Amino acid sequence: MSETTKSPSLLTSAAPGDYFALLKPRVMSLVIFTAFVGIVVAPGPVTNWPLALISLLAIAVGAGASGALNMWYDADIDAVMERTKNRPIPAGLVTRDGALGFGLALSAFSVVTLILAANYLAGALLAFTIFFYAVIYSMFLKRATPQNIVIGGAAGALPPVVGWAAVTGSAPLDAWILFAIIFLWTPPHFWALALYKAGDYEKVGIPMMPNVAGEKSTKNQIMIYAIVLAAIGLLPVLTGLGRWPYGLVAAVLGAKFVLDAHKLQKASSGEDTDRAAKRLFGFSILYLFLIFAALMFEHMAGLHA
Amino acid sequence: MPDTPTKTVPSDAQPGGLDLGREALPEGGFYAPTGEELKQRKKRNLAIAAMVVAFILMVYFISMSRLVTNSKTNIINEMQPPPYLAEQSK
Repeated sequence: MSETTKSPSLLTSAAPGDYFALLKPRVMSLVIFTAFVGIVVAPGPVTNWPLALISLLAIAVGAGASGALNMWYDADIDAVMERTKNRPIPAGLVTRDGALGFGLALSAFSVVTLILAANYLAGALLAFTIFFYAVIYSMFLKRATPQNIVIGGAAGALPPVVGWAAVTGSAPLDAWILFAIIFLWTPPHFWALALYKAGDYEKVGIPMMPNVAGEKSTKNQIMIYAIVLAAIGLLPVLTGLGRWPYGLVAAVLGAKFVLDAHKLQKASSGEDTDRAAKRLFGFSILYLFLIFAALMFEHMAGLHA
Repeated sequence: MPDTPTKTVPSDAQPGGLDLGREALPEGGFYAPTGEELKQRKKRNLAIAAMVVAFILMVYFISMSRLVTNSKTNIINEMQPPPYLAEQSK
């Protein structure tokens, strides 16, 4: 007699939009923006805008591909966490194998396109970004150490360097200052989220800082990162990448970041901590957007011509 | 009923994977896709076709764009006097 068992079917009613959701569109929008800033603030005029925009598209698709690979690997924990249980794989819309194939195919296409449209350096940096996020962060760091998002933050910080390299063929110190800003922004941003989602991460055993080191230590570390970030945010003024209007914006935003971190540090009750953490999380997104926008507008306005 | 061994696949073997509640069929058997599945499959096929066409056009455009840029650069270089003449004119 044959044994009749339930078996995953190859038939699926996944719509193209479900595959698009695998690309983490919200993260992708941040990548597009920071990479675009990298393209705009790189020295010299952009000689071929169509190719620069194709490069930007390739960077966005590459970032999306690494998101799909992350969802493929993390499907087991995504299904348990409140924040991620509606993603296409845990929701039963896309198979894990489907997400893996989709992620790998897009990774290859994006890197090849960037090499064709820009240069080998940009292509290699994009390939490294995808590898770092999908393999180093997702497979090794995320479940192993509370420093997961500190080290893993490098993947999210690389897009402006890739954008810079795409239009100039080089990655000088100024490009790495943009990298440093995002790199130092990542820990306070994610730890603020982890503070009010600590239960979610604990449920699946992800060693986020609040779960491992505790709330007080996390708040102190957020404060340290906020101070360092506020200082590094002013570095472009010293190297000439930014002028005084940028410096003013960076100083005001940096001070507000430190102030919000201080309020979080002083929050005593659980409710106050949640509220302060949510405020800092929301402001951190605005901070990154405004600080990069200020730099971009300075360069677009011809202040650096 | 044919005595065909089938592989047991627990429903949680693929976390979050598809489980449409269909029973495994003996080898060679298959389920006819439902109307909804056919509709979505057609949409997916069209999306893939559009992406392939877009990729081909993009590679074509990149090639043409690079060809034009390189030609312009070559023309400008050819218009420059050779180094020995540039030295003489100094």
